[in-house]
Amino acid sequence: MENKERPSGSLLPEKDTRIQLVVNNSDSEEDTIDLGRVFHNMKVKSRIFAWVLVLCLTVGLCAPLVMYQLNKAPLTVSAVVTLRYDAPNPEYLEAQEEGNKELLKTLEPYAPVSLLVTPDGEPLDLSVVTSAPVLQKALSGMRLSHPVSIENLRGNITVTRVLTEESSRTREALSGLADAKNTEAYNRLEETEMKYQNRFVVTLTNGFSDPRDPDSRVKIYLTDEELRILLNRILDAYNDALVQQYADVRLPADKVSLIDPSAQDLPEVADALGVSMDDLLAYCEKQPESVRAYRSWRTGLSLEDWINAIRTVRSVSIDYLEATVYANGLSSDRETAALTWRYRLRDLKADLAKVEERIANTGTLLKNYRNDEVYVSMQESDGSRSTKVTTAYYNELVAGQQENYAEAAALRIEIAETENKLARLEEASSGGGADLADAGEEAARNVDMAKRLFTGVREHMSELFASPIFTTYSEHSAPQGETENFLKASLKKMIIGAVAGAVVACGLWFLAALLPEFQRKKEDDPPKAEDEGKEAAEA
Amino acid sequence: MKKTHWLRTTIITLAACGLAGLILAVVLFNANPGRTGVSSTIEFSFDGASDGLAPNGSRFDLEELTSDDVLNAALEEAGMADRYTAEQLRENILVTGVYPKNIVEQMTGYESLLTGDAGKVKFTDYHATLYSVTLYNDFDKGISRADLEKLLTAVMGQFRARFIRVYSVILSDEILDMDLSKYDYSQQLDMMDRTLIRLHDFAAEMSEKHPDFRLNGQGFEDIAVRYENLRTTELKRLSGIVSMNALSTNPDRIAAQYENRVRVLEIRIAELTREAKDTDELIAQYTKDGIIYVSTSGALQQVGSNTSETYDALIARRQELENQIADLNRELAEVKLKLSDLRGSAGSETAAPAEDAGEEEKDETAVKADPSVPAVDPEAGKTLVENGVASIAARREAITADFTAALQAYSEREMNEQTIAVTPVLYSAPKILSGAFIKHALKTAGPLCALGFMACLVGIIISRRKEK
Repeated sequence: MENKERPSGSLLPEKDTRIQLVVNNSDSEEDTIDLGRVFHNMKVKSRIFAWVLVLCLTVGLCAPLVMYQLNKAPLTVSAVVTLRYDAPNPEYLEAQEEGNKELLKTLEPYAPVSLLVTPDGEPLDLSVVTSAPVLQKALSGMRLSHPVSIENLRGNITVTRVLTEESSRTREALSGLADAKNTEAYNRLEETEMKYQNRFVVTLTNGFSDPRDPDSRVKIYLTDEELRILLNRILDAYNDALVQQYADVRLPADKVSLIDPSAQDLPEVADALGVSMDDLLAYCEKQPESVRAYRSWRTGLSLEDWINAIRTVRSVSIDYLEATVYANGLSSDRETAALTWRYRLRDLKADLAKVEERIANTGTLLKNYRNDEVYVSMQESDGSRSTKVTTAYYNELVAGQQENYAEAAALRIEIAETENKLARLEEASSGGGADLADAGEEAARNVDMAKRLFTGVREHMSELFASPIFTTYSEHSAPQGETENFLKASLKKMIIGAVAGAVVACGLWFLAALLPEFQRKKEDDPPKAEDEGKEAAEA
Repeated sequence: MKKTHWLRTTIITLAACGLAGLILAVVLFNANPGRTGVSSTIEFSFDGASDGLAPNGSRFDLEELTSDDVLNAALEEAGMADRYTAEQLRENILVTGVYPKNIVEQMTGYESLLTGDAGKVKFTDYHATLYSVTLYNDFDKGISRADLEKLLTAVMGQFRARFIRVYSVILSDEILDMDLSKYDYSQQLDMMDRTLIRLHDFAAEMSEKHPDFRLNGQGFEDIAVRYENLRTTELKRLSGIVSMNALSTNPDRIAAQYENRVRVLEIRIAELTREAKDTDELIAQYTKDGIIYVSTSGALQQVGSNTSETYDALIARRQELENQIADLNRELAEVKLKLSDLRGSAGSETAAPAEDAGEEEKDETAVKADPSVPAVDPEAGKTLVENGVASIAARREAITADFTAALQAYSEREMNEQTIAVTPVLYSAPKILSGAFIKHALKTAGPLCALGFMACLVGIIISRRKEK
């Protein structure tokens, strides 16, 4: 081939100019391939390779969809669990520690929980969410498309705590400083106690081992709906576990039904009525404010209303009966009644004697106890000072002594009242039969009232314990989670696949056009060798 | 291969693959058809619903929708109580709250101060007000569409009725319905007083929560004022007459009660005073911890104080005893006054009330000194008291009737068909032409069609090459 020299200044090849591809081969002379012919071949083969292009594009578009189906990420559903009960108020506890009496007066000791603590104020153990009883209850009665064991389920549940705003900011600030190689910040980060909000996130991931073949690598998948329902049931079961563990659902003790005016003597009935109403009143009064404020939907009454009713009956009706019984010595068997009181008095006095002995002993200990003495001195100064500090044991003795005094006072009150009753019973002239009968009727009426009060309080508390105040210790949001639409998830890969397919198709097309040129080259090369041989022989 | 030939082959191959995919989709769909059910929604829009609080101030819970009461009542209403049980329905009802998307991120996300997003508002707490309720037919696959719809409609209706009933505010006039005629006059008045206090407190509580409510121009505050007025005027006046004139059905008996009470109170005061004295001694001998504050100037100074818990507990107990003794003393003074009135003695026992005496005691003393309190003879007094008690009871009933009407109107305002809205039920069952099936068919037939198409292309390429 000959190349015509290109006229200077012209970039375009002239007509009949050949563009050649020079292929260097170290073992032979330079080879050249005419690109024009290659492009011509490509043009000839274009009809076939149009289909090849369509095929490669189709493969490029479909491959990501197939890969997506094979490697699809399992669905994960999550829900936020928020705690809903009263717990020790952190502000109140803080004020108590600081000794801030002014602030203590304005704060309630209990408040709706704001941190991740139990109703007793202890850190909440979140492992209960994945405990066997909770998961068992969640799975019980549920018809799943595939069986899931508790162990497998536990492994797919994650519980994440949520830091409070303040702790988050503290951690963020200290982390930034720690990253800047600030050692003090790093130490503070280690030491700072992080606080967590009264909510946490529970996540359940699909894809469980087959309980029938635990070693199998094949995972079983529940449907999306089943997964959501399962997480919902787990969180419901967790709430039930919290209620069972922490809800104080004790009903009042029934001392009223033991009173039988037909079988018991009047003094005994009067006494029993008084004690039963006092105990019922004490039960109601020890309930927290939120419980006392609840109004029954059946009666419209609150526990405060019942407290007032008990006080009314106690002071107006029962005291009235009691005073009459003792003032008039109303008893069907006065001797036995007096004997009962004397026996009781003896027990009370024996108890009082024990308490008084305890008081005396503790008093001696307190008098002779020597507390620790602390000396403090400074290097720069020659002087030193000392102070006494009370030990924990000493404080316990003092607190115990105070309790002894209270117990002794209560016993003395009961002794004095019993002695008073006994004295009046023995002093009073014998009551007539008519008076006894009237008092008996009145006692029966009082017992009936007491029973109605007790039943009313019991039903009120039963209704309260069945209400959301006592059955909902945690609320959770609906489990949420969606798998991404398969087209949307694969779109990027489909575009890359299509481009790759097009590139591959074009490459194949080019190679297919190039191949004939190599083959033609080989066919032209043997005649050239023969010509060279002939020339050498002639020479 | 001619153009028409390969075009025809391609179309036949695609059609065959599509048909095969469709048949496979139908088979797979029927093997696992999905659940049939009816669904409805319930939305709460009364005050407090977004805080999870019912109109009566208590927390509400959709768990009650699956309670025995509601389900049994629904079965009765639908006439299916003999066919199904509440337990069967309960297992097949699904109740879910509707929450905003990404509620987890919204409630738990942290907005950094550094990125400037800290001002973004997010949920600190969220209660659903819209709930979706679905009843599946797994308890009886053969149940008809009409029956299933009827059942869920009955459940929703019964739940709404129960909700309105449970969370409405109602009033109970008398707790024990005691026969006042069995008691002495002072006791009757005491019981009436406590009832009026209870009703007044309830009206005041409603007024504080709902100050804007009015019925016929009257709000809860007005009702509270009426109760208080009845108590402080008529009842107090009657109490004064009874007390100052020692009116009683059985003076000896009531006197015995007062005397017994005085004895009991004196015993308690004495013992509590002794306990207070012992506590004082304990406090006196207790040494509080001191603090040494080390200053940098080199001198040691003792400054500030450190309260110990034990010392504070002793002081608190001392304070509590003091309060108890004061309360008992107050009651003792009142009972002694009543006793002296009953005995008719005017003297030292009726001296000026103690400084810490209650208002009632001061009022009684004032009444005693007030000549406007009429002196009545016993018989006339009894008639006066009986008429007075009847009059107070009648007026109380009138106020209570207004209070009850107001509570009912308030409950109806807060809870009605608009504020607790239930949507009509929708039936859903897996069908061949349903959206779920179409989606399923595309997912099944699509890959087959793609494979068929690719096979056709390979065929075309090969045939074109052969032609060449």
